[in-house]
Amino acid sequence: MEIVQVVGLGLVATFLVLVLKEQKPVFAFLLATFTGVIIFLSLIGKIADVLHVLTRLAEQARVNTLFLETILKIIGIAYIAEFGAQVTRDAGQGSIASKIELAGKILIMVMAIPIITMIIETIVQILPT
Amino acid sequence: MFELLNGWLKQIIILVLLATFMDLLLPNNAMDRYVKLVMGLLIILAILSPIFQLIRQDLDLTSLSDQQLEGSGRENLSSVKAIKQKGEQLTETQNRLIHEQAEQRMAATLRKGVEKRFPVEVIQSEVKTKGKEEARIEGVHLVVRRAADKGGEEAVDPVDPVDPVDIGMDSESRNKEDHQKDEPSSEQRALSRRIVQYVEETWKLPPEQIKVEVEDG
Amino acid sequence: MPYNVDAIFQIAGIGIIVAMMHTVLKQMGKEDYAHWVTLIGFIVVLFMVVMLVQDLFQTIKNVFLFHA
Repeated sequence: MEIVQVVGLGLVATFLVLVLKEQKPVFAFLLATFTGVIIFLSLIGKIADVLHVLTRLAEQARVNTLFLETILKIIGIAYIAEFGAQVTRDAGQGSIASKIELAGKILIMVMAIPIITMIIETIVQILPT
Repeated sequence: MFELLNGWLKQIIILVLLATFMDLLLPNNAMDRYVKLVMGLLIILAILSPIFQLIRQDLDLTSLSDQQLEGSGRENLSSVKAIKQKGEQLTETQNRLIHEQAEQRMAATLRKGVEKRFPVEVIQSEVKTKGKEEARIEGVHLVVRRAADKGGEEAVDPVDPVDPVDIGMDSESRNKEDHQKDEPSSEQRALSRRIVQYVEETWKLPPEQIKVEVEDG
Repeated sequence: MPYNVDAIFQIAGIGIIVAMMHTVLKQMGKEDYAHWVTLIGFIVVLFMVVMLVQDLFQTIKNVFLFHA
């Protein structure tokens, strides 16, 4: 019944934030961040389990580790960027949030560059000169 | 050929599965398109990988310099097994070295102990072990000579050199025969028996693993 | 929930108490003290949040980027 716990936590935190917002908005913001982090941390264990299973499968099937690593890195970047952007947006700084998202996107694209290079190089090699 | 196909298919299936899962795991949809693009590229790469290999082989035929490059590349690819083998070899060597070292140490300890206790000079001491992780002592071989003067146990005076003490797996009787062959002097036999007893007690070994030879001074 | 949920109430409590103290001090005419109290409360809460966020980032790193 983890879901009940998470929802209960979220509701309680929401009420507390509402109470605090009147007097000290800064504290309300910190409280919201804190709650978000706690919920995420309580879930990441499960994600890690799923990933372990997938990783083991991939290792058994001899999937190139480059692929696996790249995928995992992308997901990690997406999570961190998303988290930062949301917190920032909560605080009312939409522009900073979109910059964070931009950074996340660019870093993901950078991860893709070696792959693209590989494909293009091979294609160029295929083509008769 | 079939195996190759098998591996290829497995790889693609796992990769697609992984990509789907990751897609579901992703937080919001802001990053969605980017992540999907990269995953798509990865899957394309996985699908194309055998074709790449084929093409590279063709290239090998066309140009020599390329051949060398590609060859080395493929060697690198296939070298995981080789590396593993090498690693195993290294481990074995290391184990063997450790064993040897342990044997030498034990032999040295044995020599010291016997020389201290008995008025003899140990000419040769050998310890054999077997077993991988936890080595067991398989046999002890000692050659001693009575130190010059005496055979007494109180080694205050120099002792007759004790002759080779041979402690082996084979039954004690053989050792005895060995000694007897030389010179079955009762003194020597007594000495060797005492040494055997000593080694037996201090090292907790069954007597048949201990071989002591006594040489005459 | 392996994490310290009580901390949420702690933060909320700190916030409310700081707000009360702020009002009281302000009414007593000690505005500068009121600001200091707010600042200190903020720092304490910020510290808690930062520790947790550090934990979060470390965990994400371990799970997703393994050795990087």
